[in-house]
Amino acid sequence: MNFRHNDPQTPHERARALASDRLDGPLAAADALWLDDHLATCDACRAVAADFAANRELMRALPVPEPPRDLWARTSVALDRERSSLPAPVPAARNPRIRREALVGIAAVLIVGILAGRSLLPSGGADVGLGSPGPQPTGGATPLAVAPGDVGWAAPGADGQYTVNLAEVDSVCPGDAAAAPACAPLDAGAQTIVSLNSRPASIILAPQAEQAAVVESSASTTGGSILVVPIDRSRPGPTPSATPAATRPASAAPSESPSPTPGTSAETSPTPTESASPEGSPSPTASAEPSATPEPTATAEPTASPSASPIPTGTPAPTAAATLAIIKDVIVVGGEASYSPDGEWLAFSARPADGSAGPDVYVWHVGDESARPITNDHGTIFSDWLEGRILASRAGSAKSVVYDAASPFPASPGDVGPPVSVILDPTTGKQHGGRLVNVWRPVVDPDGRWVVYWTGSLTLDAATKSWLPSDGRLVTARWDDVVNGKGSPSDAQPLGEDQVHDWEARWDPTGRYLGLWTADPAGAGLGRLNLLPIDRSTGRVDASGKRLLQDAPALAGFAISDGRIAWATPPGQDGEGSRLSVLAWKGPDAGRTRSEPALEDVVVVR
Amino acid sequence: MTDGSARTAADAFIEELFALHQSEIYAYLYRMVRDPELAADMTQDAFVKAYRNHASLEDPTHARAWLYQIAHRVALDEFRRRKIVRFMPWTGESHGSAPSAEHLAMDARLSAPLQRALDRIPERQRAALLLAELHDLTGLELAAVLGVSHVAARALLTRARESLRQALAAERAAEAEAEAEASSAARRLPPTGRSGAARP
Repeated sequence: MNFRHNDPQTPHERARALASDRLDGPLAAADALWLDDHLATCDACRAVAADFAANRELMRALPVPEPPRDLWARTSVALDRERSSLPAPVPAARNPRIRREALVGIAAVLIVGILAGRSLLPSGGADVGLGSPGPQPTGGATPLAVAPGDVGWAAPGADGQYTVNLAEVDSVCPGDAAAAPACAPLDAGAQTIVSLNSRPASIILAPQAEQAAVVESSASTTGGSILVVPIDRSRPGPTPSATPAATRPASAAPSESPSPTPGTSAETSPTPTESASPEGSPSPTASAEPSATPEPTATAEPTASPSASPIPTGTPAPTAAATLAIIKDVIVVGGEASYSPDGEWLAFSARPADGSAGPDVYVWHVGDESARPITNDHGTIFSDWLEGRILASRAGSAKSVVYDAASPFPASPGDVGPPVSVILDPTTGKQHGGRLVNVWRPVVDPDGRWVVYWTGSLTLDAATKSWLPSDGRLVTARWDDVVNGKGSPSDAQPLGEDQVHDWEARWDPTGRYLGLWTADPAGAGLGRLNLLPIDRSTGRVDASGKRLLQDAPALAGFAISDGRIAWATPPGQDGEGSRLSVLAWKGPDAGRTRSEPALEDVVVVR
Repeated sequence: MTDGSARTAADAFIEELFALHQSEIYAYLYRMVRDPELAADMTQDAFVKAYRNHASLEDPTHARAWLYQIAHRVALDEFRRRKIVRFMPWTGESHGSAPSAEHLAMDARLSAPLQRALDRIPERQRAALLLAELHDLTGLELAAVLGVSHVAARALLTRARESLRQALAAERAAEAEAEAEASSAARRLPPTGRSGAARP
């Protein structure tokens, strides 16, 4: 096993991880020796290891289900229909499954037309009778097939409501075809619809896409909420009794209300409440330890769903469909809110909108009623997840700095040390390992090999009581070196010559690409997006690597996954409105697709 | 290559893929959803998607993992629909239809504490366990199927094994408790003969 001895694990956690790994293959000699030594002295871990092995044998004793004899016959029919339908959309068929899919595809296109009026259209969009068919297949370009994956975006309708959509992208226009992406067929059969009353600041999809966290815009003085919204797929469900939206006549599309099931939608109008303010009990030190009696600062008030429910009209929506405001009256700061890799936690940092205190790191566990703070120093921001733990950053200090409403900062500038980052347990808030000095907002690659972070000096924004990057730059370094050296190593590699003050960095799942958005000096959420090929052996930008995306104008917030990156273009590009743009690549080949321009800025679902 | 030959190659590809892997893909999907009819539909879907996207397979030697990746996405889509559209606890039945005799028979065979424990753990963890323990995917293949890094896949597998261990312990405890209650109730019942005599 490639265990990093600096991983912030307890010996028992390490032993169980190694015991699990050993079931899947031989361990490195040192790991095997360590594990055997530990198991020899730890009854509990020995029992766990034995259970792991026993349960594997139990599982292997389960009967093997046999496929039905007619599986090939059914599949063959479906394949025939698929062949006959290419490149046109799949037509309705006798097979109920196929018929349902075809209807779903049509319905999804309709719903997009109905709800958003702006969408990524499939190549056959005009064939299904949309009132506003959008771009037509050019016929001149052969779409580049890419590994299927979802992209999501929120776009405003004519009524100002933002509608969140998901669409599967399995092919794109080859090359840098930003100007003519209409050839890219999209599987619109996976549209997700959630309606919001105003433009959200960001939308984060849970790993399994069963829910999304919506960070409301925090422009107002009352701040905003973070809403957890059940994903509302507007494809008709498999329930036989359901009245599929697919039966909606196409002619109704242009004039329909932006709800697939009028009457079931509800507005999202979170009411600011004083009790929702993170009052906190100021800690005398910048400790990561939670206070003994952490004051819950988040609301547990469920609100009506902001979305149109896909449940057939007349069927009461179960309570599980309710949107939950996990925190209110806050302004989200620091790194983007993010779900843990296993989807069980959402982490973010926020400060009270009334400016009474600086930011703390909050976590929300799926199923809980509200988020809770895991820091109480009012000076820590969330950066990213490191597997199951949280990377957070705060200002180091030469001496203790008390941040509270009665004695707000700044402390004298001389008290302020370099930025530091820490690793926190989401459950307990306890700090694991030491402080990483001169490291601000670190984001570690998926293999734990390289890390990108900002290093430099901080400045205090007195208005928000928050620390902001001042003079410094983004760098990459070997993560082990950062951990071992308890800070930024001297051979950290700058990512560029420019100083940056606001940015967002995210690795793709392979660690071979780094998506990097940097804000323009003018601010206002405008910036440039780059997809940087990273040399895995050096951690540097691979100069020989093909720059698939360079300095693309982009609004803040982008999504990156295996083989694709999606961003929102600012309005005014080519005289058009804001769009969702998608770059997808397969090996050295890449292509693009995009949505139609929207009336207002679109928001990428991450 | 002409369109016609391309389709012929795709046809041959998918037919070979089906012959080699249909049983294991069906078994995986059945174990994920516990509904034979739905699993068959999903298997069909997976192969249609494989056919549609066969050009995205970069290395034919990875076809099996690639196919599992497609099947896994089909399963996740199904779970999304369940959670999103129905908002009901999953009971192992689907579409609201009555379970078939085949389903009942298979469920009876699988209704051991282990199967119930598997049903209790998060779907993503269940997928990781099934793929690693029963379908023998390597760590790298598992990572590819789940769309995570190798390190994250290993961590997920460890959590899945922990979850199964705890769920199984809970199932066994519940089963023991139920047996104890049944035994206790049986002791409280009066003998059959006297019971009849006592009726008015």
